[in-house]
Amino acid sequence: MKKGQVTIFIIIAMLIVAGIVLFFAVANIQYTKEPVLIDTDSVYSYTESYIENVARDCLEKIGKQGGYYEIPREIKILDTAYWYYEGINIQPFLVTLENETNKCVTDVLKNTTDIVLGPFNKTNSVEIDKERITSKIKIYENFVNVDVYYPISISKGDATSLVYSFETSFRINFYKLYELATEVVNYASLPDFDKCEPVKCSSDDINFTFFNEKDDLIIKGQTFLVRENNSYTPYELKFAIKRPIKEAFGENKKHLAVLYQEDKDLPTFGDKSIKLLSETLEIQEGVDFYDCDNVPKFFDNINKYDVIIITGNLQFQIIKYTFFDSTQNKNVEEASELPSSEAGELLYGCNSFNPSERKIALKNWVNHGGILWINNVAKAESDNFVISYLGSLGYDGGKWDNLGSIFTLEALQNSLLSIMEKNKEQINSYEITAIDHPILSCPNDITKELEGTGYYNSLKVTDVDEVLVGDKNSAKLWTRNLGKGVIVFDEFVLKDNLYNSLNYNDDIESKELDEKYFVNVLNYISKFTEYSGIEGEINLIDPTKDDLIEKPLFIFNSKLPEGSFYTVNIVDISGKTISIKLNQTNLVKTNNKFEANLIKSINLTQLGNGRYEWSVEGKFNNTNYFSNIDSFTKFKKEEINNNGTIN
Amino acid sequence: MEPLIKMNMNKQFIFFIVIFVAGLTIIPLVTAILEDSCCMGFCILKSDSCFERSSICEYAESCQIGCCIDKNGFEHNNYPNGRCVEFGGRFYEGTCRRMSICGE
Repeated sequence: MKKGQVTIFIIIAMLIVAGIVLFFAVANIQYTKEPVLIDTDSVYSYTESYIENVARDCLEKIGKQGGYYEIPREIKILDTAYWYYEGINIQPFLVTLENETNKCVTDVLKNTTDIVLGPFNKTNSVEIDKERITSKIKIYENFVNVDVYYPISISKGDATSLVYSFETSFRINFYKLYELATEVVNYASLPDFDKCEPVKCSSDDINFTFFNEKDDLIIKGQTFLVRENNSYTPYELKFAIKRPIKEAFGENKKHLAVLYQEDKDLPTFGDKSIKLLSETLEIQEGVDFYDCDNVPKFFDNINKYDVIIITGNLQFQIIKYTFFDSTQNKNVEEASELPSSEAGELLYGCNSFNPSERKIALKNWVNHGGILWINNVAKAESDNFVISYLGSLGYDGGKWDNLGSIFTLEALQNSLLSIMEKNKEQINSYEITAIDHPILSCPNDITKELEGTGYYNSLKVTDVDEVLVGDKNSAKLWTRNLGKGVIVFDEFVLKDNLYNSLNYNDDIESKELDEKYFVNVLNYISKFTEYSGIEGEINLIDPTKDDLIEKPLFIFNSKLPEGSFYTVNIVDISGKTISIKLNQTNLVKTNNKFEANLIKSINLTQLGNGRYEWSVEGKFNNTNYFSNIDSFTKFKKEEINNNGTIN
Repeated sequence: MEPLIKMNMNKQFIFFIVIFVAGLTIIPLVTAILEDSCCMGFCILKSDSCFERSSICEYAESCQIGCCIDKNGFEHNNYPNGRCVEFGGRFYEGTCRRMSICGE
């Protein structure tokens, strides 16, 4: 054989061998790699998608269930969990929410491996080691990361492939949502927590909604969960707060004074109010109760209170007075709920607020930021200054009823009852105007139930009052701002001792509205900041304490900065206010002392003789500052003798 | 007769000592068990084992209420001591000094 032929054979042999090797090599690749690669990818992507769905569902479930996969029985409420329960904050930590989500994801994945296996077992042998499935959830500032160990082995023929690590993340502002929720829960721990406005903040993509269900406040924080495919899903973090109104009061919290009258022979209901407050609503800490005899003691301590309630018809009194009856040409004695001008002899009831210095003290307490609720104001704040709690608010409420000239208790009671029958009316639905006001709607919606409630008095109020039930000419429930403070007035009674005999059942107690109404008002009046008791920036110097004046000269001092504006307010006994702006022409300043000479602004002769209250309102940088309120008396010059006493 | 009286006195004394020591041992033990069983959780009235927080848990250290700073730095006011520490938080008595209240 020639050498060239051998070479050709060798080359041909090499080509054949190479071809065979190449054929088998390619065939082998196709056999072992290609099918497995395809299956692994599809298994992987299917599993990944499934895990993402499970993780999202778990995140949603944990959010809706107050951070728990399985809500502990003792804190479960309406398919969510309490985060605050009667004074105790039990909000789960962020790490707990992560762990609970872990639990959920792991649990669901372990129990649903069939779903992953289902589509693949026809063509491949797919196995999942469910016992080794674990997950790790981490909440970051703008996203939540889900890391899952999910071991799947995929076999076909001799080839086996193992996939196990899955990671997905959701864009969600969970961290901020939790932060704001924490602030809400912390707010619930403070005395001025307002159940009707529990969330005072929001963020660009976070919104809070809430509703009250009996004693429970359910709060939902809402944002969006963005998946990897950029699809948006609404996300909700829900939790509950149980925070009874009693938590507003106590040591290091707000202090409440309750002034009342209780006399079984009179139309008073102090005991019922006290029972409602201290037993039903369990307000036992931070509260002092004062009956009529202890009102002077209350005034010794007035500045320690943030909230004051006057209830039970405290100022109800029956007076015996004498007048000259021209028809009989002799003096006649009669009994009245109070004569129209001067106080007479007290027969029954309580006249603890008759002294004007007490009215001024209470008024100044409100003026400095105190919050007052006068339950069943009756006619006390009407035109007769003597009987009022505060005086000079401009209210008008009709005349005082004559109870006749027989002074036995029975006769007086009969007179009262017949007057009561004559005056009694019921609230109509159209009179309930401020349906969104928290006193009527939150936490208890009583707007419907209030219809048909009986009342015995109503007052004509002023333009500065906000009427919630009734109208300006016949107000049954209204509020008024006075300086830095607020006053709530109403005409609602609990079935009192005397009127009980008339067998009406339309008072708020008989209608079982008393608890709801009291809670609403208490929630409203306890939401304000605590009473500071600090003297204001403006203080009145002269005149004070009913001083007699001859000239309209008013002196006060002020710590307000240069450039502040001042107004003097003079209020007559009926509440009519004259406001005079001070400027260079009528105001002289020496250091912090201001002397306002209003001789050119008002003519004192225009003012009737009698008692006036005055105060100064300052304004700087759009903030109003209120002085204390004091009083002076104006008499005609000729009525004042040389000693300064009245002739 | 004298020794008999003495013996009775001794018996009474021993009986008293036994009751006294047993009391000293059992009462704290029962209290500890009660506290352990009911005051490590939420410390709320609703809890079955701790239905009257005021009588049992109020004085238990684990149900002492104060400020809890969790691992993420969030301050939780009125938080129970035991629960705070259990989940890795730091507890101190009184109101939280730096808690934020939105809107304030």
